Amino acid sequence: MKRGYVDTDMGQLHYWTTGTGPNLVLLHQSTQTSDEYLGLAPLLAGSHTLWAIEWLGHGNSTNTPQEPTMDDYTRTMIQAMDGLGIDKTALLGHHGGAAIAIDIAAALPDRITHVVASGTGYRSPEDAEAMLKDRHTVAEPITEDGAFLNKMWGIYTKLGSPGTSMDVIHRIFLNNMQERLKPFDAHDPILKWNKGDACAKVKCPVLLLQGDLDSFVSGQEKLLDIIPDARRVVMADAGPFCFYDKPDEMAAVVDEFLGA
Amino acid sequence: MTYPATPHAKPGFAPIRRSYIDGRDGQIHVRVAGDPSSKKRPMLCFHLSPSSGIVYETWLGEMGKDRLIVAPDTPGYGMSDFPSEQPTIATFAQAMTDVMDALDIQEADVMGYHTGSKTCVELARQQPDRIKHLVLISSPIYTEADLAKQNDEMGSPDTPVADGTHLVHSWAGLWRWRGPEHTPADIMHAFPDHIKGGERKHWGHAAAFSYTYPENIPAVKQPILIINTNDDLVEYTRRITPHLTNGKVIELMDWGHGFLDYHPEETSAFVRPFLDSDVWPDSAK
Repeated sequence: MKRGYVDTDMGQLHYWTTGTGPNLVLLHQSTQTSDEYLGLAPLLAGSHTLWAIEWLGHGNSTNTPQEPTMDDYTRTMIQAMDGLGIDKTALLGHHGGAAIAIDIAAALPDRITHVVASGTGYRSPEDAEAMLKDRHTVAEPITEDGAFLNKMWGIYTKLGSPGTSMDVIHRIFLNNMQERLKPFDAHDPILKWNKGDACAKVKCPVLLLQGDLDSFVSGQEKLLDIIPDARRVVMADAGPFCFYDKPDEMAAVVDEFLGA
Repeated sequence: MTYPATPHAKPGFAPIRRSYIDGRDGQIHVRVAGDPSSKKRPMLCFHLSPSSGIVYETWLGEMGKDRLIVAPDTPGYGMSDFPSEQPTIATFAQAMTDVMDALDIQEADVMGYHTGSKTCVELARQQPDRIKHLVLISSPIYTEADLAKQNDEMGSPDTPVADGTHLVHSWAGLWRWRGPEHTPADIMHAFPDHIKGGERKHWGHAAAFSYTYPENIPAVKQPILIINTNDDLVEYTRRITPHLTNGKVIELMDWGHGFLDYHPEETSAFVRPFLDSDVWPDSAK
């Protein structure tokens, strides 16, 4: 596995790559990093060249002083793909990463061969507007006594799939922590994006995945009516961090879809 | 723009780029600022344990105004790969030679912070013709009792536990030894890199506690400027003077951890003359 940086018009994006075969770009969820897909590497690297690229403002990628737009996320990700020589590729995204994958697929119909859109649902513009009124990510003020860490840790211990180890929770927590210092919420640009329009433009086959324990996702079945060529699989006992804590099961369903 | 955002950067500071170099034990992550074609000698900066080059972000911006300056993440820290086994100060120094070679740096001045200061000394011993000046932020000399205490507090793994108390414990340690200007946001900025080593977080301290100045620093003939601020190693550092052959100590008791973020220009005002013209600070003894 090699890690590196690639230039975009808003700064450097950080990535890792491994494997051989057709390209598969991996897009992590909001407030996480490319670390989310490390568990897939040994399972899919034999059949695909994996590229886990951290979006603008995430992980070690360039931060922005103000809230970026969905166009910033998508444009810089395409620039990163161009800079890394990734032409035809499949995309796999989870939560916010799935939104970016759909947006890229809508913009590049001749380059994107498949999309795996995991943990993404459908909200009406009214519901999205209502969600924007609350800050989702940075709820706890940073205090001298560090008590906010304990409180946030408590939340993360409840979000894993059943049996998730403390080490995995530690990684998820760690990757999220840098979000504490952002003056904006990384989810918001996605909530402001017109998902329905992008979904309708996707020409390639799309696999919709949803963990049955992922309480952040609703209305995913509606996407089957909007995306021209979509199918859906519900993963049992899978929560919002299923790529961290259930990589074998996630890799199997992804590999089957891409192989087909 | 850089990431993570450099909170203390000022207008005119050099921008920072990040990259990786291939070392003998995996990839080493580096932050780089300044012009490689500058006539000034490049500077390498080695961080304390268990942190990363993040502690030098402001300093890179300041010194990068007139020279190439590089802050690698020590193997096993920040975004650098873990070494295959428990490292030593000698293997850390070898890794930093890999950084110099990869970046085509023939000669350099070095700065080290706590564990990083020992890496400076060892690198100067291993590469006497390539290392020209050393700036050490602390140079602790421990008694057996001191060492037992330090090992007890910092030399063992930090295992995640279900109730999250490992996080608060780590936070409390950083807050206890915060600098006079440090805010909770400053501590938070560096906190992820402080704890990400998990079960191997203590490797850097273990390496540092196995390397002593009395055994190694007398062999260093290059000029050594030691900056002793009012941090957790202040008393231990005061024991260094009899062991210096070509070195002086500047005591800055109004400063502590974070001084490179809060006083970059004041620091460079005495570091630049030392590096560029062999001029010691007036108050150095």
